[in-house]
Amino acid sequence: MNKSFILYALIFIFVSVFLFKGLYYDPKKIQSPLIGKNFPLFELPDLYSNTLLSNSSFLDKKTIVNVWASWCLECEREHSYLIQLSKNKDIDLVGINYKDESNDAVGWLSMRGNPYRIIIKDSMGDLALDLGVYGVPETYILDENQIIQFKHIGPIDTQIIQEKMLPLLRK
Amino acid sequence: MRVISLIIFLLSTNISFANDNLDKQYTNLIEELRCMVCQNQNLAESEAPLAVDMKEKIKEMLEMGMTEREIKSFLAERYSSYILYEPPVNTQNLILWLGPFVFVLILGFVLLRRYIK
Repeated sequence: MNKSFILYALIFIFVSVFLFKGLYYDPKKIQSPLIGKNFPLFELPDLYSNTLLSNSSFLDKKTIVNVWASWCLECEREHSYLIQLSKNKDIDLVGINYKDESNDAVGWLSMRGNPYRIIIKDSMGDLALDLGVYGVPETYILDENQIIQFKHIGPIDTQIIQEKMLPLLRK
Repeated sequence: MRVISLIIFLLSTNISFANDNLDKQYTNLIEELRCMVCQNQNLAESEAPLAVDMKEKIKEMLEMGMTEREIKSFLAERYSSYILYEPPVNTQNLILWLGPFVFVLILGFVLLRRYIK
């Protein structure tokens, strides 16, 4: 066989594999550059009491931070999972209410149950921008020192909880 | 009527500055930053809610006196360097930056060898 034929075949295969992988590459799945970094500094009101919340409002345990809004349909799908997770007393569950009306948000939760210990009211989306949020819902896991360990874009489900979140939360 | 609605449309979506220099920097920035929730659009082209928020934030940062470079790295730190249309050279994407030159070099070498023969 011709030597250059082999060379060209190799180049062809290399490029094909490269492009083929690209077909299944979802740019939205890029790992957040904030993983391993501290949760951004913030000072925002609580949804219910309007008292100012800040980074010192977090507890010294593993924390799930969930970004949601009453106008978000996908948030409804994941809500029952959050209620389930909130029963685990080893973890803290904090909500970020994203670009929402307070009345709508409170009403939404009174109908479906409130899984969150505290809810940060981010009506302008400032904290969300600092967190690199694309849209609602999004879920983060922070360790005891408020370092971001995990980010999921879109609603969480049994598979994500079992395979990705619980191993981190149990650590 | 049409003219009026066009003017209203332009006023509603354009962000303007008192300072011409800031205006220029702003236009540069929104053309070089990606709308993260769109299919290959930059911030200038997009009216997606996230893009509108980002443009507002960029305006605030410019008015605070941040440079273009600082604003770009601020956003890249949060949304990954995917947000930059011109990504920085680093070990992960070195092959993309150097690949074409390596390819031309190899080609030149092959052609030269043939030519000498």
